[in-house]
Amino acid sequence: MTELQRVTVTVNGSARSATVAPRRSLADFLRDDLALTGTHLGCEHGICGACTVLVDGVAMRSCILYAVQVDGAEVTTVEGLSPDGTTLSPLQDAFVACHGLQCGFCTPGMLIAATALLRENPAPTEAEIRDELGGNLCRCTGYQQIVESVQLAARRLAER
Amino acid sequence: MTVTESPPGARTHRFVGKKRRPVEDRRFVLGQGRYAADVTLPHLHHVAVVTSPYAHARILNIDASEALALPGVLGVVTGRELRSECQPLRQYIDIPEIAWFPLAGEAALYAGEWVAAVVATDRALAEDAAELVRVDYEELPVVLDPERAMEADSPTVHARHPSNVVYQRTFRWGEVERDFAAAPHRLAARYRWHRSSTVPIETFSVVAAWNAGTNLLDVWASIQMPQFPEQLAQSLGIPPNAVRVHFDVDVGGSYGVKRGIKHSVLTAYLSRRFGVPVKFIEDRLEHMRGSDMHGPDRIFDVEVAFDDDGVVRSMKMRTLDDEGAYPGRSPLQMGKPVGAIVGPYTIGSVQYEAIAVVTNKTGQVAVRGFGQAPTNFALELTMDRVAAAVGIDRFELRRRNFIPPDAFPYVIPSGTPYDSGDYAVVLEKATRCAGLDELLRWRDEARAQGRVAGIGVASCLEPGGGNAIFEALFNPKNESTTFPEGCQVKIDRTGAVSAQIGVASSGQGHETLVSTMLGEEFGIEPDAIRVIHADSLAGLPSQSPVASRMAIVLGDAAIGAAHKLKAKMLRIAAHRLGVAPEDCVWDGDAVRRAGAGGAAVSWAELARIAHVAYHLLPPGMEPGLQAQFVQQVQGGGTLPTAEGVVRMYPCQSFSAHVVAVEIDRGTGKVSFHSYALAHDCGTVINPDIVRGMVLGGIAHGIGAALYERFVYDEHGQLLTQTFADYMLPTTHEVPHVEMIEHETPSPLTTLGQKGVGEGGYMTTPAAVASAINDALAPFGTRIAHVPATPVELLELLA
Amino acid sequence: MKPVDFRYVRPRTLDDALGELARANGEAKVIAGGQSLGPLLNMRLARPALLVDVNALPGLDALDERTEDVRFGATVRQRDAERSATVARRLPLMRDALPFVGHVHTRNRGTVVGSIVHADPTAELPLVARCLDAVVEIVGPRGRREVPVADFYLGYLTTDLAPEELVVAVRFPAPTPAAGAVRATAFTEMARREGDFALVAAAAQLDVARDGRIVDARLGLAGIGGVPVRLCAGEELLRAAADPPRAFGAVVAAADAAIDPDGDLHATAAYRRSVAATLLGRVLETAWRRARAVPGRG
Repeated sequence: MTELQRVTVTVNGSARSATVAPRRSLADFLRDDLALTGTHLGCEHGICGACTVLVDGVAMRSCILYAVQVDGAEVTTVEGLSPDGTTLSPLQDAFVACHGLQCGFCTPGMLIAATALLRENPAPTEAEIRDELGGNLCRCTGYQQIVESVQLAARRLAER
Repeated sequence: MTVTESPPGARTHRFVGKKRRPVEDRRFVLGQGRYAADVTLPHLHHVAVVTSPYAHARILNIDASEALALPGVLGVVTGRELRSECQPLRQYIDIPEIAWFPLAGEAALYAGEWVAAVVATDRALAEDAAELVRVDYEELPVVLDPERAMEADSPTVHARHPSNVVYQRTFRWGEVERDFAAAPHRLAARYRWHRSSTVPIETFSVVAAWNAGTNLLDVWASIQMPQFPEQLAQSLGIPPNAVRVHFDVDVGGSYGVKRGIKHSVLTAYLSRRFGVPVKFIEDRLEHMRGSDMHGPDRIFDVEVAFDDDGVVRSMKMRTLDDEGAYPGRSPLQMGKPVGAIVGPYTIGSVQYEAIAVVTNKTGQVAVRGFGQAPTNFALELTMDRVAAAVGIDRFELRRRNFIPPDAFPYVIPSGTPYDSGDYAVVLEKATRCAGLDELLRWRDEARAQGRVAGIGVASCLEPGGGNAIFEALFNPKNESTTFPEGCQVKIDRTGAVSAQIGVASSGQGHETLVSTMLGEEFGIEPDAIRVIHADSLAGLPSQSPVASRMAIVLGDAAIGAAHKLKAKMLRIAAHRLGVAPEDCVWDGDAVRRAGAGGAAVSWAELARIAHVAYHLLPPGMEPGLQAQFVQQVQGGGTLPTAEGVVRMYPCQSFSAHVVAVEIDRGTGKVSFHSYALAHDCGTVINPDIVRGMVLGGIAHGIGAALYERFVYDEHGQLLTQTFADYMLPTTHEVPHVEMIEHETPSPLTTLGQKGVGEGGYMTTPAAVASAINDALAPFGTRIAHVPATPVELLELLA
Repeated sequence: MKPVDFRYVRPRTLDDALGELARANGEAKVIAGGQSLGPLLNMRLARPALLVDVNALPGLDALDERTEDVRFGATVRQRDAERSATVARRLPLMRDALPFVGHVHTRNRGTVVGSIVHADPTAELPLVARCLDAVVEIVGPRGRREVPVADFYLGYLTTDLAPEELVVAVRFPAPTPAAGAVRATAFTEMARREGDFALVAAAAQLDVARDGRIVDARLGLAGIGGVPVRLCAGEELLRAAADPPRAFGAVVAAADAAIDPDGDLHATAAYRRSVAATLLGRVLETAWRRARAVPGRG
């Protein structure tokens, strides 16, 4: 067995540490070492997007990143989108208002992707939304109510 | 945006049919969903499986010594041990010679079949150990083609079942030969529905914890399966009351396939064997290759007899289904469509032959629609051919064949009464929603420019209610006629309402369904009603959320329990008011004496009295306010006749899709110009949930029609094991969909609600194929299979 | 799907990185973006004893514009190239190709150099590199060497890179068009779904002079063999043509003669051949139209 390494990551604003094997994916590190099970694994080969998190503010797949690679970085997961763990952010609320989910399994990845999109492009067109979410697979919704959720969130954020 | 158009005179509801945020959504957007993979226990161990690299091979020897030497490995179990300690998994057709277990026995029967299981302290380590297990195989001949499998000299899949045909029966309903002889025209066609599945983003996951102190097995699983606790118990050789399945697990999508009985029996066995809780999360490769979760794999031969006007008088349909190595429940997917075998049409007689064969491939499982999608596909493409044969348009052809609205309840030749329907109106709404005239102009202009464009139509039944009497239809030894769903409703001493349901949900919004219907019945805010998922020992009979049955059966169970409580509360109020119960009425959420004015007893007061003021109760009344109601599937309860006349699902939802596509002349790629439909699932309980189900089903249908296929090579190796090769539609492949909702209530349910869970998927593949064929028509060619790939389409256009 | 047990280092100097690779004796893999390697690791198709992470090596994240070329350090992300004004201006063919590379989120982490080194013949960036005569800069135990992309690609997923070597950069020559010539580019692909690897991809860059002649042409196809293919004969025909659009048919015919596509799970050889011709015709038409649309050129 390879020597374990200590990894410290700022997750949702808090410094978190664990000692892990190098082969431990960031997704498994979040889920199993830090008990943040909101990030989900659907394929473990970088295609379904359910595992998407923000690393230093940039959206990427956590199943093909190893925890040791992000030592010292800042990570945002779905659990970090609500200001206090109870109040829904405008984006989260929009997903509920438009029923942009059903089983919820792809939802964390969708929310992270939408968060990254709206930060950069506060008024995306439908085509731009579909482009940005093109790497996040959903088998429940057919995507349409997800698109509507992001559109509603964009409108609400613009009104603020 | 969905426009709902209710029939005139429809009851106006306070909550039902109104926009309401599904209660489940909140926890999911917070990342607080609790899936089986999220469940953790002390001393939890993990499973990895050793799989067969060969499609058919005798297992000569398994040497696990190197694997067992790895620190952290608790044990390795082989098929020999498991098969001697457990009972076989249930197979519904009569094939006692075929034993299905979680691990292979004397031979591996498909590439990817599980041969041994490793238990270790973590999954990565278990995989390391699995690689060290040495298995000696002797390859055997392989059969992969279903028609080949039927031949007398085909290699045999199961040593003890000398033929690969595991089911074959021909049904005849009505005067088929007479109707064929009398009709002036006939045509025949063959269709191929290639193997795909609904492939959820969450793979099957199960945690099993055997407690030696209480002799109780606790199970958390991403499950969607009738009789799961019972079958788990049966295989483990323990009584069902020694198994507690926790249904308060969120399931990450199932659409039929999460029947992980073999994963669960394996994991439970390992837990009992090694005395630790065990978790098995199948990985994506295990799911695609070895979970026995593939969908129908069919060849259809259809012949219809029709008259000069295109009215179809009779139909002969033969369907051959490739079950893979272990049939399980899957052949019954040829049985369910018997309950809607003529679709929405007045076809007067039917001959139906269903054949199931085994091959050296992954096993099949129930998939969204339970066989209705491929059957609808074959029927709808045939109707398109009839239209072409008589030279009328496909919309008119359907109108001529539709069961008229005044004919309901309409008993089809195979025995099922259709409850209600308004097919012509729904088709008209679909064409209006699609802007058909405009679409025709678009198509014709595109064609004039040399482009390949087409419009498709499909009008399909989407049966709901889940009367699984096809179990008896296909095997008289299955004598079940009870397909119930229970709901327990409680009102506590403060008047707060909660309900228990006996299912795990995979995104269908059952908590929202039940709380909305209870809120409507009680006259109180649905958001104040809590719905929880009980475990399997709570005493709620259930057949799980399959077959678009929950709104129908669970909904009425909830209403039934509510009625019991309301009746009791009325009697308490009457006693309190000193009047007879018949003189009291519900007024919102209070009970008052009927007539002008008068005192009322409030909801809160009634609850208080029931729980704590025994002295104020009618004499002899049981204290408290809790009631359970078990709803039998409406119209169910009779066995099929010897001829196979059977009353199947109670409620027939219906949708008509109008689709416009363009095929790139140079690449064969299909893109959607528009997608519109009108949908009728009776009374809508929650518009956003209904819309979501339909849109999701359409996306699944687009996958089946254009992208998804399990492809095997000539050695039986699955080539499409990853998401790089098995193509799930993304935001780019699923178009924007316009939808109109129509409501033709069912007379069989309390609110007129029908089912919608499988909606969309049962119609879309037919609609897309119809559009492709319309696009190909000027080239004198057509498709008769799905998925239709760019390679195939380019060849047809050449 | 968990990888085999590997060691991991993230060296801070090039010498340290090279030392690790040398000591690993062929059992090490370099990880930059990880978008190609991660899946292979998780599926245990790649089974290194050591992972050498190059993301901390100084200077490798530089996207440098120079007079003759644009140079991409090994850890420059695809997304940064996509947004780069330099790339848009100096390497319009790459700008056209980048939106086809994977998805937004894979481009956030995946690197330009990584895709080129991974050498998937259906990938977009290797095709662009081939068309633009990119040069691969390699360092190893015996020092630095440079290899033109044409020589770097040896076959399917196979390059001229030794296990103890590291690609530190790829530079793309970016000569300005000849005086008075306008440069126009086009890139297209046929993939089953958007974001997938291409079944066939086609790239065209045309420098069109005022008189409508083509003074420089770059044409290439991906997905029709083990390596991306440069269509030199076609480029010749275009340069020689007095009226280039009339030569497009001959260019496509020349390409057809030059290629020998394979069939696989996703496409037959005949399909690839046919689609290659179609897509090549399309990029020629599009690039030509774009060139002539520049004011004063129509």
